[in-house]
Amino acid sequence: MDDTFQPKITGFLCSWCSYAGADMAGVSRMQYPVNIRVVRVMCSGRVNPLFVVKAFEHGADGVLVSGCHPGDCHYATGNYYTRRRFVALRRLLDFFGIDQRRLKLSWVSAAEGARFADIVTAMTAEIRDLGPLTFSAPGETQEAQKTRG
Amino acid sequence: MGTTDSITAQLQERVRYLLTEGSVDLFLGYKQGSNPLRITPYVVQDATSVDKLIWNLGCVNNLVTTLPKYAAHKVGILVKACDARSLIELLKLHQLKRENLYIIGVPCTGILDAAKVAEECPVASISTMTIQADQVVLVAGQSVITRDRADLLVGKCQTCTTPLPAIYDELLEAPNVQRASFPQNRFADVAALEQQDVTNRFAFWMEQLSKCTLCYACQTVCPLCFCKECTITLARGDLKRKQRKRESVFAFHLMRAYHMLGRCTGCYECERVCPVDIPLNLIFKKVEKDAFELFGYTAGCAVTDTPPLSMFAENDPEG
Repeated sequence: MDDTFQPKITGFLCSWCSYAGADMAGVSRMQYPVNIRVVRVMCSGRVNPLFVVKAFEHGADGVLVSGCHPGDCHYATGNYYTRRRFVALRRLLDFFGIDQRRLKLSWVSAAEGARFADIVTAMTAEIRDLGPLTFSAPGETQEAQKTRG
Repeated sequence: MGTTDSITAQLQERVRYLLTEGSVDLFLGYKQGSNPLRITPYVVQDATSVDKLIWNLGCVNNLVTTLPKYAAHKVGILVKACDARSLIELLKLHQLKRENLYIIGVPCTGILDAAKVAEECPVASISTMTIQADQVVLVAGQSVITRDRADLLVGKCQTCTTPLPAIYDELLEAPNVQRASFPQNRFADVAALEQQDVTNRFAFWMEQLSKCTLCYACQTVCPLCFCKECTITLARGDLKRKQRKRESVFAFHLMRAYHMLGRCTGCYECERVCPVDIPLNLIFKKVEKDAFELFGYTAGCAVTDTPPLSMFAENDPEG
């Protein structure tokens, strides 16, 4: 059996551009890794940074947030707010010791199926190199953690 | 008569006047606790108990924390320069009505750290505490102790440059409230941690946060954590809270830091109350530093500022 590390990536894709872009990749029969689990949201502005932190808490190794290109948001300005939030959140993640590459913000339009496939392929490879995100201390098993305190 | 005694006298006189005149329903100030450096917040409701109000170098609490609780009343409050910044932030976020507040500003040249003072002399024996230029002078029993301010002041006061609050209705008078200039860069320790390798930082925080008992004292004491229901705290009986899994603790602190972006005014009450001494000031200095570096924003300056995450610019940074 192939035992290469298969990262879990949570993807939050906006309904109007990136989700349609992912769909485009699908109908165009483009190959991309199955490591991404997609959550469809109405706008990238809907993605509360708490979603991202929760994803990491519950075992995601990477999170991709993707929306319309700046200026093309279906709701005019949603993705501008997203951009501000995630620039700040990535810095904080980095400060807490989580590699910035684990959180990616990208812009994919409905026509850019190939771009979506490329982003997912590149991100999967990157996170495979980084390895799994684990919070347990060296030597501490998950069972030991459960009984602590 | 020392400066702090003169301030106490002025304060009592003014509060007595405000309460008898009826311009405030209650007044938030400080009261003497069990020793000269143990000061407790005190709510004065009638003019007869005004004599208990006090001002000295131990008044570390940020009284603004309790303000939202009294939002329906006309409240008088005593604020230091740092507390005023939290107050401005609450006004900016529409948590308080300015017309319901009567703010008395107090000139402050720094607050003593009770733990550091306790190493020098028995705290209970201190009779007077003064700050003269760059020296702290304590009279304890028969002895007079003179130390550099940096040795005895709480951390935030060591880099503070503003003795006077930025918002007040009246200011108590005190001679010589000049701040000493502090050459230290207040972000030096944050920058040092930023320089480290990302895996070292992770190890550092995992070690620090593994002490966390999820008591949420930091969140309770924070003047700017005003939500009635918090989405990131766990209920008392929640199994995840009992387990204290590293990822849950981590998620709580990370999200609290994010929520404080463009809000935290650096009173560091969270760190003061933390029972296990997690260096929370590092997190919130980082948040303050980021808000400035990314968005040119400093919290607690003016009520009319727009919070950085409530606005955008077309040329915002991408990464």
